[in-house]
Amino acid sequence: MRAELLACGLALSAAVAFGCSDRSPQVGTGEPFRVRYPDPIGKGLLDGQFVQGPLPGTPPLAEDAGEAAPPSPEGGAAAGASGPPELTPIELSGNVYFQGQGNRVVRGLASLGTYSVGLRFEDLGDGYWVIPVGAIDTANSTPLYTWEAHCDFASTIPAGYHELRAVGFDEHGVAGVQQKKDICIGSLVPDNFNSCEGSIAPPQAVISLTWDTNADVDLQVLEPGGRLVEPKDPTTVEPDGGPLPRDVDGIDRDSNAGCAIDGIRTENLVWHKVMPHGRYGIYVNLFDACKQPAVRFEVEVYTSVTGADGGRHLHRYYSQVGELLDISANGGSGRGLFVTEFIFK
Amino acid sequence: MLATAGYTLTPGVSAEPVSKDFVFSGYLQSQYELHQDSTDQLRQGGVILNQNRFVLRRGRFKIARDWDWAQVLLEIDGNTVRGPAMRIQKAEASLVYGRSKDRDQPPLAQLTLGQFDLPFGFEVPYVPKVRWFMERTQGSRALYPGEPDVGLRFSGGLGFARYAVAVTNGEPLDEKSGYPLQDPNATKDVTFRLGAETKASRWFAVAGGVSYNRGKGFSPGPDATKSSIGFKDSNDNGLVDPATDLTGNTAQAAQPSRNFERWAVGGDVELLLRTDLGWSMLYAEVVAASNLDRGLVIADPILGQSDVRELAYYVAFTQEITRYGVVGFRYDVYDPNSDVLDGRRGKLLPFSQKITTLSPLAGLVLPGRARLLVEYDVIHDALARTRVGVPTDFHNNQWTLRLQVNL
Repeated sequence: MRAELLACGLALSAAVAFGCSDRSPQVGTGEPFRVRYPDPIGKGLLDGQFVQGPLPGTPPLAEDAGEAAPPSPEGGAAAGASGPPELTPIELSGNVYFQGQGNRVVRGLASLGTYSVGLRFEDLGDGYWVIPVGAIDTANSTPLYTWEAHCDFASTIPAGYHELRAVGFDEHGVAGVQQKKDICIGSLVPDNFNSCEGSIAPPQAVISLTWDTNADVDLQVLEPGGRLVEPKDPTTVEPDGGPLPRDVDGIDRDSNAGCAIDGIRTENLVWHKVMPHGRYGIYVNLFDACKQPAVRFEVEVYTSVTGADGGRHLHRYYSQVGELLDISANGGSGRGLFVTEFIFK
Repeated sequence: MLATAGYTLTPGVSAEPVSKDFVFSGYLQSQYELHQDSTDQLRQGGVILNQNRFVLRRGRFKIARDWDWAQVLLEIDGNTVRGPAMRIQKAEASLVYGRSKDRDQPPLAQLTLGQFDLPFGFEVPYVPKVRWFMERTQGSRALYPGEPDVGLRFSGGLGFARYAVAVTNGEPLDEKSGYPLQDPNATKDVTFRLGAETKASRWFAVAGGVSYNRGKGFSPGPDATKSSIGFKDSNDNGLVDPATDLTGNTAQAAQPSRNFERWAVGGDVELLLRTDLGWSMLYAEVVAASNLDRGLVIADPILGQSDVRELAYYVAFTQEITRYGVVGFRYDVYDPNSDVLDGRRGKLLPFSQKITTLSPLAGLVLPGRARLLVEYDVIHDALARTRVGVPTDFHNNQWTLRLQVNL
């Protein structure tokens, strides 16, 4: 009887143990950084393999240089498949990355001893992603394997520089020397990349609206002069028919306009050069629920302040969350839900 | 004897003896599941990835009425597998000839029109109410995602021989290629099982059969599209550069849909032995198929440009421990594509997509009334990758605790 009870207890413990964890160590859907790679047979993308834990391999050799020496025939890596796995420096597509952005390509080349490549941000997430290397790069005089990662960045990644590391694995799973690359993740709240480069001045003020479901929600701001700024009429100055300057103050986008879902779910009213003054009424309007039952939103107000480092940075002064039901959708026929009045001094 | 013990060795062809009244029956299967691969996230499109949950797996209510020459049967199923759902599981209108008073002996001939379980093999028509294991095997569920289809069936038995021939739409319930219980092509699927069942003594029975299924699958052609402008941020700068980022997409014509051949052939054998401990049941089945996967790795040789070969087999054993307990073990293997290739380092290499499941089971029984069962499925597949990029086992074992109470 005691043995039976013990067996039952063990079975129950095992069940509870893997039932109470909210994630599997092989599933990375909750990670802030996710990776896919081109299907070598089909046309689509395949999910990379997530592995919990730190990225294996030797940290980058030269801390200041930032990159290990690329593989070369003289080094032996390219001469045969038995050499250590080595990667060339990480190549990025473009220099602008944003919170919440998807499908950004990171690529590179790998020595002939490389079977797969591991990727992770040094300071983000709980593990790394593995993708197999692709075909040999025929355009290169030195025979090297190609690798290509399509990366998704969660909107929760803090804006600023983050260190991306990559490492090659040989046929036994032994990792080589890591490569690293600092990547600037720009904020969804327009800050002129101030979070990465403190020397660049941020805008004077920003009113930001974000929401959680793919509905057409609009930020509406009533200026002291009575002008209602909204995505349909996005600038703080009355247009006169002539071209507007690129940095005109106004709302930066009409997200999910007409239920054409862009997934950004953020609208910002930005004052670039001149700090606004006076009493501003902030409204949130549900233009179209896009078949969503409800939408939860957050309004934030940022202003530029001088930080401890002497530079100018955006500081969040105000934040308010709220919810709109689908029955509030008005197709733009009126003003939306009043959130608050904010006084810029 | 077999019907009384709850072991119908030739399911789908056994008619109950005539009853002058309506016969109501039903059962409820509620369970708690724990999945190793569960995660508190949503898949693209909103599918819930958390699978650690309580589920009403089956809530079935059946009403039947028999006359000398006819039978009508309606079974309703309610479940919460993909959210609350209520649907018709079976709706059979039958003409019956040559009934037997022996409940183990089917009528000589029975002609059924309606929605019924496909007579393929042993597992597909074996009713979940009496099956000890939680679900059918991986291969059976992939090839026949749901048991019932709509059509016409001719079945019966003479002596030890059993037969069932069905002509159906060929799109069974729960199939995932888009047309469950409907039929996108005029060709009907033919399914039959020819078998035998014999009681060597009151303590020993043996049965078996061969099955065949042939039909046509449907590969839908895409709809027509209008002209449109496409944007691709070629240099990832977040700006629209007309010269490099904008493309004109011309209107595309609708493409014709196409049919393809699909088939399956199988064999099954069942042994039933009663000892002082209780009933022991050993059964096994093997199925070879082509282009028939409609539930797991959907087979479409038009898109894939080559036929897909599937192979499934299993061996299962259950042992009653007196009338109040049961233990069981099942070993099943399913290979959804015997010719699959994996791209690694620029080369296409053959590899095995085989899914092997080991399912030990134990339970307590209130005879004829209730069952409390627990099953652990150890699943070996090739859905994950090692550090080297080679396909390896994805950790997706699962526990299921189920309570079944019969009406």
